[in-house]
Amino acid sequence: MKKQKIIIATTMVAMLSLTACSQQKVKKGAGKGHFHGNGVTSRVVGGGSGKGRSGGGGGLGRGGFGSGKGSGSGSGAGRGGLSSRGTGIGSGKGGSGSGSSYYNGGKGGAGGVGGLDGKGGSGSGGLDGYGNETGDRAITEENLDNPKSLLSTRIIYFDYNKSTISPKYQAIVNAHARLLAKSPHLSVRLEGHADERGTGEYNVALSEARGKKVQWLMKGRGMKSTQADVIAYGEERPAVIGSGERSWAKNRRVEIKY
Amino acid sequence: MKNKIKKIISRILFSIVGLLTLFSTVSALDLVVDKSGADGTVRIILAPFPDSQFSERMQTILGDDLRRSGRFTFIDPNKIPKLTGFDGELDKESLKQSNAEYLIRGKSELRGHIETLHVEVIDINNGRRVAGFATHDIYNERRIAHRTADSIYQKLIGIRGVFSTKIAYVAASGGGDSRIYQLIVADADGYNDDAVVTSFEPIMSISWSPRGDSIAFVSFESGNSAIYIQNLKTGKRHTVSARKGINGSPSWSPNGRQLAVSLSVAGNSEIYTIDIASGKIHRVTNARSIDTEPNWTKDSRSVIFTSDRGGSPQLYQVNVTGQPTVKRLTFDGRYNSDADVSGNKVALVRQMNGRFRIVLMDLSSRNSDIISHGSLDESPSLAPNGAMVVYETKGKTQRHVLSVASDNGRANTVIYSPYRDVRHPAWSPYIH
Repeated sequence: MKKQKIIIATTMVAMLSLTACSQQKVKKGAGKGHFHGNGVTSRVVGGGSGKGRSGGGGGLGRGGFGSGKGSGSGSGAGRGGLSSRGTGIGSGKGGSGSGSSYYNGGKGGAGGVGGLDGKGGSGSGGLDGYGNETGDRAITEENLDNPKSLLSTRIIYFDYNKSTISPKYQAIVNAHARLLAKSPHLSVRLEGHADERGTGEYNVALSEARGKKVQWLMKGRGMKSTQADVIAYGEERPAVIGSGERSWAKNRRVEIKY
Repeated sequence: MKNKIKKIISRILFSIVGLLTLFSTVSALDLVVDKSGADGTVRIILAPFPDSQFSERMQTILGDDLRRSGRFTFIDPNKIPKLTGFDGELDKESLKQSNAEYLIRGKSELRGHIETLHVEVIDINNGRRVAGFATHDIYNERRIAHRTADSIYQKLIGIRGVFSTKIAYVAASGGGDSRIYQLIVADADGYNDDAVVTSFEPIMSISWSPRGDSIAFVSFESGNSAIYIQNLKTGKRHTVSARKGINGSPSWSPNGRQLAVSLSVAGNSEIYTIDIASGKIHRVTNARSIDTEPNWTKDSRSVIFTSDRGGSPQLYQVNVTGQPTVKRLTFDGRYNSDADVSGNKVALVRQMNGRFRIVLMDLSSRNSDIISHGSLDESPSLAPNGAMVVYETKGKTQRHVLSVASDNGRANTVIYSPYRDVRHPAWSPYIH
């Protein structure tokens, strides 16, 4: 019996998820979603929709910049959520789903409260997460100090001798770019750094290329070029002293300083 | 082999000159036959200078100088029976058995405020004195010792010594926000250190003027990199470039009139020259890649620089006047950068199997030798005679230290500094 409930719940998760986006796979009561973003406006879909009638679905990943790919997963097993078709019995609270997006670590929503006899109860929509497509309302100056906000993350890391921004940091850059775009009074220093390998001035130039890449991305999101200066420190100001990949990885960075 | 013959010839010539001027009675041939050690070093006995504490200290200082050059093999004076001091009787048999080529003896003398160090160089093969030096100064035993070491080196190796030149470097102390950066000028052995610039922001890329009276360097004290020139005697400083973007890699031209620099004012890092008197800039490179770390060739007509235009950092040479023809100089290794040119030699950093080491390359033959053994060696700077390189390396304690490597790879010596973390050394020219 119990097993059956879970299966029902699972089905629900799958259905809900399918309404939210087109590429979902569901396994064993845990919603796992893959979501191909469709451009800059793709949004997070939290677990359990606003009209949730079932156990919470997992948070979904969201589209990244351009055609980025996100993935989210969430557990949707609750105490038997019911389907809108009312085949189930009992009531249950949707499990809270938590999803993590590869891009942004956004949180999935809390599951909706399962409804009785198929009519469904109320569900609370998923939290928007703190992702690259964080709701516009979350892009505020105040959130720069909110540890839950993506805006509180202000360091972008790079691979050795590279100035390419990997997809997982684009969400952070985007969030700051959007804040700067809507707050013309703000400006930032983009401080580029390199690890200790290689030579001094080459590393200065490399760290400038990193800073400029961040600046370029931000400009693409509406920031004015006067709002960001790039300062290239090379290997002169390591965040971490010490040799070895663990230290080096922390030193190859661009710090966004307001 | 060719080199060896050259060396022998130069030593013959030198010996002849030395003998003619000093002791015309000694046969020149005697000095050459069988004297060239298999490893190319000169075998010497540096006898104790026993007469005073002054002379003992000077003996230590000049001995360390000669050791650092990698050009000498030291034979332990304790193993020579009946070794006598300056001007004393020679026990020729025991000296010959030591297999040494030269015996160096000295004594000091103090008259009023003037200290004098007398040193004699004796050819063990025939017992003749081939050179004698009297070096004096006012209470400055280090300077006396370095100048004496220069004289001995020139006499026995045939090229000018660099022990009385200077090294400038950057010392960092303290951590976090209270980190202090200082530009230090010290003797070539690290002693007599003197802070000439102090800042809370990083300092790097020091270049000496060819006369040795000024230095150009990069400091971040304005909040961004900027290039400054500071006169070492007057302490006067002026800003050479504080443009938007990178202001880096100053290299003083051998004719003294220009700095080659890297600027990113036009977008990305490119090579420029700056006329020091007028401040006018002239763009040399134009590529989408990183172009940086220029260093002048001796004719003041071209620079050797680092560029990743081929996909990885390599050294290239470009004319700074006329048609800027670029030619690639390095092909071995994935990473070759930060050239320092002295005469026909180029010191550079090469990455091999993940390790960064100092390489000395001959500009005409393109032959290169690895002369350091660390894994994070960088910032090489050649001595003005091209026979030694000072560079930055990382010790076991994770501190940066400065090390001096000899061109033959035989000596590699960490030099003294009272500071915890020292980087970016720049060897001065000969100072008059």
